[in-house]
Amino acid sequence: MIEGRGLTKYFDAGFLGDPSAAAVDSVDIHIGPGETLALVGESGCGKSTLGRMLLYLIHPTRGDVLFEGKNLAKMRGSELRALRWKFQIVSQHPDNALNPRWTVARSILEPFRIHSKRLNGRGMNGELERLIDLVGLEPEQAARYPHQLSGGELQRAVIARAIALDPAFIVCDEPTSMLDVSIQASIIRLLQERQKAIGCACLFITHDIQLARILGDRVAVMLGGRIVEEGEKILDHPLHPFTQRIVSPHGISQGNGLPEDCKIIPGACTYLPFCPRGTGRCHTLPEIQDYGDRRVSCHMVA
Amino acid sequence: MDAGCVNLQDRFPTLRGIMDVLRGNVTLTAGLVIFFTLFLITILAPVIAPHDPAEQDLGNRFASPTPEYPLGTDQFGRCIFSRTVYGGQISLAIAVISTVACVLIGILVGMYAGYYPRLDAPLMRMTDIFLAFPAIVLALPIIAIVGPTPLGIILAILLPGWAKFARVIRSSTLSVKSSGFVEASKAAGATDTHILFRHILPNCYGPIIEIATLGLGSKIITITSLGFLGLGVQPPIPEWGTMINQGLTMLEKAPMIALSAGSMIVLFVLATNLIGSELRKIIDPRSDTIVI
Repeated sequence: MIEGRGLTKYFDAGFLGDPSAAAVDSVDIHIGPGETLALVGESGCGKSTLGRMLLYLIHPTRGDVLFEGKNLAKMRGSELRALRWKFQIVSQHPDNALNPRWTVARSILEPFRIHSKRLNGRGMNGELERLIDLVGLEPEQAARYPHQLSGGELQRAVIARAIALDPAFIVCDEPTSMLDVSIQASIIRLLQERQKAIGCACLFITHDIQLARILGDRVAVMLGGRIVEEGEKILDHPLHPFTQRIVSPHGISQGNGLPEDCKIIPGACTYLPFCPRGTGRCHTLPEIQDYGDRRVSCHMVA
Repeated sequence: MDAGCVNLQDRFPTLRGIMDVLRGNVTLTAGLVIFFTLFLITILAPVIAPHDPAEQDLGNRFASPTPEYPLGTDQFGRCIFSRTVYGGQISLAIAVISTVACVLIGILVGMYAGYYPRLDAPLMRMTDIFLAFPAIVLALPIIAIVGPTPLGIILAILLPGWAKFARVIRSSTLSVKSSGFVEASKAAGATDTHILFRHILPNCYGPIIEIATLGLGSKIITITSLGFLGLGVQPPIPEWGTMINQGLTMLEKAPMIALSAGSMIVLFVLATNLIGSELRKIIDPRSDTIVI
């Protein structure tokens, strides 16, 4: 349904920056209809950049994004905009995801204003009632401005906007990381429930291994801009040494991550400086290869 | 929402919110009172002024203040009080028109430069060129070409004036551009025009109001300096800068000519600075520098 081929992104490093640093490097990724792909990795590994490239919010330096078989790079601007009702994003910061100058209701209904044909003759008010009922907001809350709502309520409003047009593909970029622990579960449940009802594909970006295990039909692990392991049950039986490390009892979120100041060796496997199993072969970058139920990028797995 | 702490960046202020702010902020209230009083006096000049500002009474030159001439008369026997009251009309009209024009040009240039990375360098270098010249250096040749008419003065203020506005609006655009609601709108297929005018512009209103208020004061100063240099509105139309210019030579004989016009300018600039700096504190409590 949505597919990325050889996606690579170099950000403009400026006059003195390192132009060879790729945020995302040759990533192949696909998500089927109704499927959830959980993308895990440390902060700064390129998860969000990859998600935004799939939405074509960030244009890839190399590689193509194919949506329902059509190459987004080959589309004209107006054509792409007309197709965009099928794409939605739920971002990490609910407090700036809604225009502070607009009432929450107006923000929720914005997709209908952009794609007025999608209303199909239904009234805006009816749609608003349906949406806020689905996400569990009060009509009175929808009439307020974003700064008058709590983080959890804001995220519900963001979800209401995201599901307004029954999209085909939603990117959820760490939607609960800024929320209170007590609210996270209810937001996750809401997202899961709405996704099932609409039947849309979902890229769920997170650094929480447990969340990825619960939500992901498939899981992809990213490291330094590349996918190192991807498949259905990889978190239960990890093959790549990095996946093994992050599923270990401590996990990446509890300070088991990689030391930040460590230099990556050019041309070598990204994980080599930390890998307990590294050998001479690992000084060449391993290709990602199929191993039955999964794809792994490691010389030592075969 | 606590009283006295309305964040203009967060939402449109309601009438009640505004009243709460005013009750807690004497400086802002004082500024607004002076500002609107001066505006009212100027607009109501035909009602307030006892004489026609151009009416000469040559038998009654340099008169001392009397009930008939509250501030005395000038070298042609014209009523100084009436001339001061009328003098604000042309100064304030030019100041308001040129500020609005500066804001509009600044919004267009600033928003497009901030939103489209490709336009950023060309538009901002052009802005830098206009910022590099002292305002008066650009104003003098324009007055020389167009002539010392109201249109000429507006152009002379506008040409060097819009650049500061463009810079401020560009930086606000850059910060709003990266927020989640702009991204979500773009992901949902909104056009650039929709994003620029529905999302980015309303979120720049705070800084725009602030620099426009401060700008209004500096425009009055520019207008009166042009008048003082003899390049402003020409006599016999009453104008504050021209009045100071003419009154200066007669400062001992008839001090009220220059002093009355001068104090009006001081009051007006004081009011705009009070309002502008207080708005700045409300909009951005962390910074205390003044842009203009």
